[in-house]
This record gives sequence, C-alpha cells and structure tokens, in this order.
Amino acid sequence: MTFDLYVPTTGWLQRLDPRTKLLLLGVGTTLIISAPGPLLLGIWLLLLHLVLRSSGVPWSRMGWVAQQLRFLFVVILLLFPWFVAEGQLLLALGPLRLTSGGLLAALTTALRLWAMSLLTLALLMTTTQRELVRGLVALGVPWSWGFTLSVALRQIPSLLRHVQQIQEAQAARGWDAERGAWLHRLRAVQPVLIALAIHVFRTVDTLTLAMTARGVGRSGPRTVRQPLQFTWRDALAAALAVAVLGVALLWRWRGSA
Amino acid sequence: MPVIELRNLHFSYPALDSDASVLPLLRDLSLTVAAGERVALMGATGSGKSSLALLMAALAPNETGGTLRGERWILGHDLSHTSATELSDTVGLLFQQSDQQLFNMSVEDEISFGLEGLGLPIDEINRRIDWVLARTGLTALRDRAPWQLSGGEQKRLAIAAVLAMRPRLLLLDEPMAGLDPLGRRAIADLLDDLKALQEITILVIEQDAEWIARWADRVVLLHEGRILRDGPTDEVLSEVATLHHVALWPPQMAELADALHLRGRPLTTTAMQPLIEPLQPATPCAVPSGGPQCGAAPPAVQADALHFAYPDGPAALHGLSLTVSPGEWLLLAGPNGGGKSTFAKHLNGLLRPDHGSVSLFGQPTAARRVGELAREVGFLFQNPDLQLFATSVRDELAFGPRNLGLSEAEVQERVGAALDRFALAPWADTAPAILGYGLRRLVTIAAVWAMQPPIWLLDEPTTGLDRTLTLRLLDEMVALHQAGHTLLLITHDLRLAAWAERMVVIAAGRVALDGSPRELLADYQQLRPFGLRPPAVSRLARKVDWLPAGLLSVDEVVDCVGGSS
Repeated sequence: MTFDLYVPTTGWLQRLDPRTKLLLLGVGTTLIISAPGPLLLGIWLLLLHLVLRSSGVPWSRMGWVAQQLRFLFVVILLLFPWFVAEGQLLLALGPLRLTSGGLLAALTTALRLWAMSLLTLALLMTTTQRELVRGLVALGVPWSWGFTLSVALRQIPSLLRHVQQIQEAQAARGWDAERGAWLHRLRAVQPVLIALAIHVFRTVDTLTLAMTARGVGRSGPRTVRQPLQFTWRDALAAALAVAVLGVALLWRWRGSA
Repeated sequence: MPVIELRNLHFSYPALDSDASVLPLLRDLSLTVAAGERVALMGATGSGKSSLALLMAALAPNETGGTLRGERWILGHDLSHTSATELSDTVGLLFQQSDQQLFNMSVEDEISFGLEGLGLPIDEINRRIDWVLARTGLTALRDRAPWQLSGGEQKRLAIAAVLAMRPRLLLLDEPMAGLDPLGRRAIADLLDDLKALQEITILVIEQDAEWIARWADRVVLLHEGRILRDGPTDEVLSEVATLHHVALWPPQMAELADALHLRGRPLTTTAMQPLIEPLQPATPCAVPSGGPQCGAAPPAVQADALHFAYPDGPAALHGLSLTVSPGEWLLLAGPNGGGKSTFAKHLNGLLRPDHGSVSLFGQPTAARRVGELAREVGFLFQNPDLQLFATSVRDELAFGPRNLGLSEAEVQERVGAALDRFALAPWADTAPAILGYGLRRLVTIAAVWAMQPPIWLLDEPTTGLDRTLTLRLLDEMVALHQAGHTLLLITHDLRLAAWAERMVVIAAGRVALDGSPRELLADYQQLRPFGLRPPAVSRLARKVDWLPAGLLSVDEVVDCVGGSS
C-alpha cells in the first residue's frame, strides 16, 4: 500500500492548477452541505462520478471509496432512523419508532458522507501531493509549513511499510494481537508501537541530518522550478464552478422564500 | 590545499545514560586527503567511520551533539566556524540508510530540492537534473516516487541528489550495503564512472575489500578511534593479518597469496592467475565430496507448487516447490524480488499461498496460527531494529518464550541460558535499542535461540557485520547445525556457500537452480543471469586449468596446492 491515491493520467482535472482544484473543492463542499435531500445529493454524486471518470479516474478507484465506507453506511442506515421521529410511522417496537422521515434523514446522511468523502479524495486522486503542497504555498501557506506537510506525507508510505514489517517480525516470535480478551489485545500492540517509536526517532534523526546536508535553512531566495500556471482552462473551470454554485444557492433561496 | 585536513581529532558522543561514562570514539585522529584522490575508509562495525563522515560534513557535533577537540579543514573551510548548510554545495554526503535520506515526492523533485535552495536559474537546474539522471541511469524513472524504487535505485538517487550540487568532495557511507548483486553492480558501475570526474574527491566508507581492491587508490584503516594504517590500496589490502586484526575480510586473493607466501600483492583473480599457475602439484587434487543425507524422516520443510500474488501486485511465487531435509543447511540465493523472502514468509504462516501447500515435519501449516508455527520456525529478520522493543535485553529475550506459553520458571531458565551463550549478561538490564549494531544483531539471534525452534530462517543476517561478528554468527550456525537444526540462510554473499550443504537459487517465483554449492559454483556461468557473483576462489578455479572447479574457500585452494610453494 502506498497511500498515494493519485491517478497518473493526463486527464483534464489532473492538468488543472491545484489552486483551481482547491476552489472546486470549496464549491463542491458548499453544494453537498446545502443539498436538502437524497435526490439532489444523488445527482451530485452521479455528476461527481461522471466528472472523475471523464478525467480518467477508473470506476474501481471510485468504488473503493464506497467500499471503505460500507460499514459506516450500514451503521447509519440501521441506527439513524430510530432517532428521527418525523413523517409517517412505519414500525413501532416498544419505545422505538421507525418513521419515513427517519429513513429519509438516514439516507441523506449516508449520501452526504459518501459525496463528501469522494469529493475530498477526488482532490488527491487528481492532484499529486507535491502539487497540493505547491498550491497551498501559492495560496499563502508559508513554505516551511508546506515543506513540513510534504515531508510528513512522504513518510506515510514508509511508516505503513514499517508497521507491517514490525508486525511480521513480532508475529514470527509468537506475538499474536488477535487472540484473547480486548484488554489483552490492546496490550499486545505495545511491542509494535515501541518498535515503531524507536524507528521514528531514528528516522527523524537521519532526516534532520540529511536535510541540513542538503541546505535546508540556507539563507537567500529559493528558486521555484515548476511555478504554477493558471491557464484559460483554470479560468473556465473556476467560472463554471462559481456559476453552478450561484445557481444552486439561488434555487435554494427561491425555494425557501 | 588539501581537500580534507583533520588534525588531532578527539570525539565522543554524549552518554545516553547519565550513569554511563563517555567513551571516546575518535582519539588523536589525523588525516589529509588531496584533491582528486579516491580513498576508501575501512574499519570494523562501530569503529566510528560514519561519525567521521558526519564530522567532515560539519553535521557532527553541531547537529548530533558530542565533544570535539582538534582541527577540521574541508576545502579550506575551518569547520569550527562553518555550518553543514554552508557546506551543502561543496560537500555531498550519502548516508548509510539512503532511503531515509530521500524526502521528496518524486525522483526529479529529490534532485532539484538542493538546487532550488541554492537559488539557481531554472534552466541551470533542469540542465543539471538531465545530466545527473543520465549519469546515474535514472532518466526513465524521473517521475517515480522515491519509495517506489528498489534499494539500488534509491542509493543511485541519493547519490544523484548530492552529485547535482556539483560537490568538490563526495562522502559515500557504505554505498553497497544491503543491496542485491544487481544493485551492487549498478552502484559499482556508477562509482567507476565518477572516478573520471577529476574535480571531485571521493571518500568511500565500505567493508567490501574485493570491490575496494578494484576501485580505490588509497585505503585508510580505522581501528579503536585511530588510523591504524594508511597507504596505497594494494599495500594495505595485502596485509592480511592487519585486516583480520581490525575485523575486516581481506580480498580472497590476498588471503591466498598470504597463505601461499606469494609475492606481488595480487588482489584480483587476474593478478593471481600467473602467480599460482606454476604451483601445479605433481598429483592432481580432488575436490572434497559430500552432501546432505536424506533420511526416512519426513522433510523439515515441504513446499508444493506454491502460488502467491500480493494484493494489487504481480505474482511473486509461480508454483515454487522445495523439500528440505531435517538438519540440512540450505543457502537460498537469488535476485531481490525473485521470491526468496515471500517463500520464507510462507514457512511460518506470515503469508498463505493462493494455491499449493506447506508442511513442516509432515504437518500441513494451513490451519495453524503464526504464533503456533513460531515454535517450529525461528525467523531472523534482516533489520534487527524491527524486533527490538523491550526496555531491557532480558525482557527482549523473554518475549518469545512467553508467547509460546512457557512457565515463568522455564522462561527465566531460557533467558539465563541465552544471556550466557551469547555473552550478553553485561547488557542484561540495558535497553537493546541503545546498543551498537553488532550487539543489537546478537540480541535478535539470542531472542530466536531462546525459543529453540528446530528450523531457523535467517534473512541476510550478515548485512552490516564485520568479519569478527560474521564469524561469530557462523560459529553459532555451525553449532546449531551440529545439534540437528535445519538452517535456511538467505544471502547474496556466496562466500557463505562454503558453510552450507545445499544451494538453491530462487528467481521469478520458482526454484531456478538446486544443487550442492560446489556443483553450482563449479559452473558459475549459470549464476550470471541471476546477478550472482561467485567468490574469487571459485572464479580462480575456473581460470587455472589444474585447479578443480567448485572450490569454495581459500583453505581448499591452499590444500590443493599442498606444500608445492
């Protein structure tokens, strides 16, 4: 597992400036949060899938998002309806009431969660971590913060690989975190966490030395080798997104007025 | 003006424990290196070589802490008034753990990082990136993430990143360590290529005397914090007794020349050939014979038609079948990614086959948990730090036996026996993580030993160990073998074939070659497709007509020559 969701194609979303994609993320978030019911959320979800597909993101990658959320969907759909008592009564079990409004609210929440997750991950599917950091820096985040974020993101695959290796090394010595009572299992994770902590301290030590040796902290201006370019595509995408947002909000306002 | 000038250096790290006394790492060390020299710095594990490199790059003591006396001048800079950052465009340092040196998102970004920091124009940065990618053979990988590269490619990338800064001094700390034969060859080719760049002075820290013999002009031996020997490569590497004294493996041809009292300081088989050819004995010598005796007992390991693919990855095993007799000592070799480690993890249930089966002593492993299989298979991982976590060596040794469900009395008995056997008693209450590399490796061996498994799987156990520690480990393996344990040793170092009874090459997920080490090394051309380089004595035996093919050690060649010299 590399923890890199990026789909390396030359799709139109991939070619957009990361600042534009951050704007699209903001617009999309507003649309999803303001969508009142499952029908509109379903339309946004369908559109989001189609937009991502048009940019070369495979269905399987999008399906993976839903797969990761399936447990939460089940929990929301099973438990949520019992806590909203609106609409027509469908079933009564002692003090518990299942209503049509409760079912609708559960479906809305599940779809909103799905849409938000896919939208956020869509940014990572179409933007390299490097571009994302550049975008944030270009939007005013200090270079040292962006660099730190980039190094932290870079360490995730290494750490995940290390956790797996440590687990294997401990399991080979008879360690079994999946047996026994809950407390025993929690305690059994200790060897992995300590070995990982030792690894992290060593890595930080080496990284600090390596960065210093490569001139981190040197005074004077830094060159930006690949400056971000805001092209007509970005202008068009941004304008369209703002237009869609405007129409949607206007629609919502007229509906409620 | 010398590139490196160190005068009377004394250096010690701060004590990790307030009760511990500070031991000096370097004592009165002086060294001068002129421009354009190719120098190899050699010494035992823990002798202070890496620390010396950090001192030369101004990273120690500024970033590491520690106490330093003496003078350091690098390219005319007095390092007592110069920071590592200021030196970053003149001194390039390759760290031993080069994967931890890479902190960018792509190969190109990794190279451009330092150049951007220098504020160079974009055209110049792009020119340097293209030049260094071509020089290191990474052009096709320029958009890859560093963590997606092989070990050898990561080393080349780390070298490329420092080379792009056009340093005048390149310090390379164990550039070959942990690489498979193909990775080593790529680095060796790159360093051969860099020799042509006269404007760069190169100092390499390396334990592989066979490669140093071909590459370096000068060898410096570091021992107990001082420079014990400093001279031309052929002179220093021919001093076999000195090299043994400092726990280093001499080149095999130097050992042979020393044993046969030959003159001329031959370090390579080509240099040795004309010297040994006249020594042909009157009666031809015979190759010692013998191999594993397979009894009627069920095999210790039986793998039948194993197929396995990692999730989202290509198939790693393609119908691998292998039977290992109880008490057999098997050497497993082959290129990285060929399936050795994947196969090994099937033996203790860390991985389960997609198809096929594994049995240990006749019992299928399919329905048995990893914890249960740990009774039978002891796994020594390549990196000792993966398994060390306890606050004391004593607790570390008790971890495995406790997991096996032994009584506390039995656990303590085994811990005591392991502490005695591996002479670890002085560190029984010390945290293993703060011990030196050699001791950490010893603790991991003792930890497996305390579980007393009948089958031992050892994955590259000699990586990073000097000659003394390697021989210590081999002594332990010989003792285990004599006691009837089954040993599976995964290694790229074919010198160790002299100890094994059987050699199996695993490549492309299958058993590619299977035979006695003598048979396989006698016809070592068949090893080439797998990137395996036979030991120098085996290559010499093929070059000299009267030497029987398949000799495995210097002692065997000496026995063959007999008293003729």
